[in-house]
Amino acid sequence: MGKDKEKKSLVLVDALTDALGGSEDQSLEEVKEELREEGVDVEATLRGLLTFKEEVSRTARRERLEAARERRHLTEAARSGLLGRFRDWTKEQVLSRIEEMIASQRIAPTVSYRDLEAQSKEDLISLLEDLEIASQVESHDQDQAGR
Amino acid sequence: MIHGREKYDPTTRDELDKLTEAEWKEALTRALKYAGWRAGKYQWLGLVVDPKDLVQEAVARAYGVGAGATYRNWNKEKYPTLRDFLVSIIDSMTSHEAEHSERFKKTPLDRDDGTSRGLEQEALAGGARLAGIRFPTTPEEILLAERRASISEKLHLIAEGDDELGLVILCLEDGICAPREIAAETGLSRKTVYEKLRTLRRKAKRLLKTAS
Repeated sequence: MGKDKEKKSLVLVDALTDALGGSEDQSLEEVKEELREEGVDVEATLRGLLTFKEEVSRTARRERLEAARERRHLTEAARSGLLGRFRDWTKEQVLSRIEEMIASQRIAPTVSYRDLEAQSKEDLISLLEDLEIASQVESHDQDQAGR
Repeated sequence: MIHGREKYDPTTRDELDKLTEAEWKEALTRALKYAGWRAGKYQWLGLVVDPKDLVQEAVARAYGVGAGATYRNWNKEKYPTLRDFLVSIIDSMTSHEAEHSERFKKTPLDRDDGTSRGLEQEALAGGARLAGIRFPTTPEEILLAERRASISEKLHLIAEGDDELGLVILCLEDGICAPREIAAETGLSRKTVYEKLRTLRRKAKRLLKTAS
């Protein structure tokens, strides 16, 4: 069988199973009846799926809390590591670093360059610290996702 | 405000937890039916996939904790209901155009001599699979490829004497599967399309059993 024919068969099988698996035109009872005809114990299967859903929801909540805690620790560690690091920088140096970070597209702050120039050096240092911390957290998240 | 790259959106999880048990039951029932048909295609490839496993994996991905850290964010504009959302996840997991290999449980029917392993990889490797489809080489692969080819011929036999059903099958051959798209393509009313799909569903069950 040639590649085109093989691909066409896969397209057909996908479209066929997609169309026949639809149930927009059926009531819930009709769908259940169809499943029963296929030998599915609908009520028992649904109970199992709902239990699974509850477990997954709990797992997801736990992971979310753990991730939030980890992020908080990471943020605190990053902030203490940055303490005073930019104090001796000129406003131009701080601006340049901020622009460099924005250009790297690692993170996208919703602030324009014109807004930046109008800010005081202290505010810019504060923004730069936030950017550095966000960048570190982002790198950490990507490392985690890549595992 | 600083935004990171796209990642799992926790509001999806919140939206899922807001739904009532009745809403979940309805969505899971309909998703199970969809998964049953989608699992059928693996049967033709010589694999057993439990529809329940597909639904479970879809739920896990919706909650952001799918196999291999996979997840899906809920685009409510595109998929207004939970059923739509779960079905779209199952579709992407089982579509031949899926981009990533899947990790839901599958049991190959024939593994003793290892000959089905290559086909299994081909069947599950998603987009890469589509680009890299191999010509069947072993007698077993040739048999399975022929089964897939015969489905098209059998579908046309089913439609003999029913031109409207024939039109619906032509749409399926072109990958058009949404009833409203079939209606637009064929000029048939949506009601007629649903009727034809019901007929096809009834007759195709026998067909698919004999094809596998």
